[in-house]
Amino acid sequence: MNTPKKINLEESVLYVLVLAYAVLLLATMPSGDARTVPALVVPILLGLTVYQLANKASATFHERVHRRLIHVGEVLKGRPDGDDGSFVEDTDTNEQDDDRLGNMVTLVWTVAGIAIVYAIGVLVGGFVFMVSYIYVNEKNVKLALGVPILVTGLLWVFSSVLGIRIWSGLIDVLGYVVG
Amino acid sequence: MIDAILQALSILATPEAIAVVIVGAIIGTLVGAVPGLGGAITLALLIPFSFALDSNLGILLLIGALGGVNFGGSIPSIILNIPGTAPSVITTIDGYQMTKQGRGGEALGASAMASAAGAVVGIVFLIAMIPVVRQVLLLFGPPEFLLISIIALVIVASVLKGSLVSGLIGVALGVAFGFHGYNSVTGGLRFDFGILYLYDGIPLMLTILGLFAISEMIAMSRDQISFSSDSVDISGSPLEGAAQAIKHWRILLQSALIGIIVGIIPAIGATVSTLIAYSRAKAGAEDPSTFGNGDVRGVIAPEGSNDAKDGASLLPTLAFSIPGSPSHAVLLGGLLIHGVTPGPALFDSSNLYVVFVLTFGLLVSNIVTSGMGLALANQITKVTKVSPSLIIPSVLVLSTFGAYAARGNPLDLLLVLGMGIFGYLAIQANVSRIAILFGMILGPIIENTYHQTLQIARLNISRVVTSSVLVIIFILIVSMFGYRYYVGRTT
Repeated sequence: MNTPKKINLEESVLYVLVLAYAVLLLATMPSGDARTVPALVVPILLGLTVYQLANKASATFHERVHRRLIHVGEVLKGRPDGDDGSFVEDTDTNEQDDDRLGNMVTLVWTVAGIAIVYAIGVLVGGFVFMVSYIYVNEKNVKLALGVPILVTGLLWVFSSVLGIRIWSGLIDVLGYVVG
Repeated sequence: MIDAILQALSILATPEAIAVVIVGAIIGTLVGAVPGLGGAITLALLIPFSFALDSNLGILLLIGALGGVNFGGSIPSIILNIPGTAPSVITTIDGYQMTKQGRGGEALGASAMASAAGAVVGIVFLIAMIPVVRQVLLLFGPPEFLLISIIALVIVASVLKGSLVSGLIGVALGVAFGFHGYNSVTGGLRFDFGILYLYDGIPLMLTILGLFAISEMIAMSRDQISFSSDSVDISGSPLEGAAQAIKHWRILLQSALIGIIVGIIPAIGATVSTLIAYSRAKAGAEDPSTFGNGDVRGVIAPEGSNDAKDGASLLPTLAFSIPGSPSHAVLLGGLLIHGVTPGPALFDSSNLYVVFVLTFGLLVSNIVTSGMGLALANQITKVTKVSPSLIIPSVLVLSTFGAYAARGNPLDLLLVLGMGIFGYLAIQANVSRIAILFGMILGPIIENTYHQTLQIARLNISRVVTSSVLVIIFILIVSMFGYRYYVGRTT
């Protein structure tokens, strides 16, 4: 039987975000002709997201209960179920969930790092980010300096030709928010 | 139509235009050759930079890159057994076997020639269909566009990867993204939450950059993908491969026709066409057992089909704003940003030259790419060995720079980063980012045509109810879903 795949951390974060977004749209629905199409689409989005979350959560719950029951059954019967004669641990996933959580934390940290570095200016921040990223991963000073110099050099020429301000960053963002 | 062709040729015949197409083709080939990147990312990265150019040159840069991506994607498929782009998966079957047999150069040559020939067939079809499309578009009004756009969204939601529910969520989300800010129907603001930044809505270009470039880099970074760093010896003559492609012209033509048919169906993409073309070539061979063991026909069929699809896919993209493939969805976004609005107006006498600029640009790009493939196959393969540790920060910097360069608004950086994280979550949750983009592109069309249809219906209900075009579209839709249901039941 095809059972729905259980939910993972990223999936749950995405669907919760979409759910919150749909609720926000629903709560701020305009009046008149401006609401006609949103009034059709937003409830569909909300309904599908709730359905998907419920479906996934239910699958996750059933899978866990099912695995637990099998495990308890095997213990009670005293019969090992592993290929090598050992008891099979419930691999479901506590460890996998921990790994995923670890990855997620690393990911959030990386993204936050990018945002902070960019805040000091697109070109300078980009250069710093590239140097640090390449050096940490490649441990090669030539590459860590060569590639960023090449990329930012090209972008600097490009921005000079177009007259794009390249030093904008944190001050602009703060000014925008405060202003 | 002759005037439009001459006008397009006069635009394309300038040194700047040729240079831009060649640059686009080179970038497309090189980026397409890097495993993990592809047509959508290449175009997403180029869109902000195309702003620096005149509108015609900007769209030529994008179409040039589109032409280069397909052949670029086939290089790592043949050399490393790693598909550079999704449609190149089928090419790995025989292409990599040929490399292992010391015939990698021959496989690359066959791929280059098949790509060029397939592209020519696809583009000839496109040009031949333009007068027909112009006549068909005259029969289309708001009700017809409304129906065809809604159906396109449903098809997109159902054929893209992931479940139907996640596809519909993606489409609905994309449509909802288009609600923010100024509303052209009522002339007022909505869903702006009092934030000045949202008055102009969520910019399409930033969404494309975030959803496709940044999210893919985050995923690549997290998954720690690593590619082969072994040196690869490409032996075998590319010219011999090109000669083989010409020798097997029947397979090439058959595959190109398959690419054309699949290409005009929204969102199906080249992967399906390459699979069908390969299966047909194998089924029609006297000695099918050689397929999978380094048969050059196993390279010619998918490559010819893949490139023929591009020309055919331009038809629904330009005529109905319904992209024929994921790469065309991003291309459509780029065209809209450049002020090229697909639909009847684009096929009007005054704007028809833009269609030919794109068509001829794609043709030139494919020829340049294939020539480059035949001449520089060994050098291009070196790109496949670039470490992800160099690609990831470079693409992140290019995309954020591009996001900032367009308007010089620092908040654009936050939006593009947010969209990148959102796109990454979508990848992990198997919610198609293409569905989100389709929704964002077709959402405003649906809303405008919906209100126009209502107004028409209020004035003359029989116009909507008795439209023969609507009836034909209905029959086509029912037939299509019926066929899908039948195929689903029998397989």
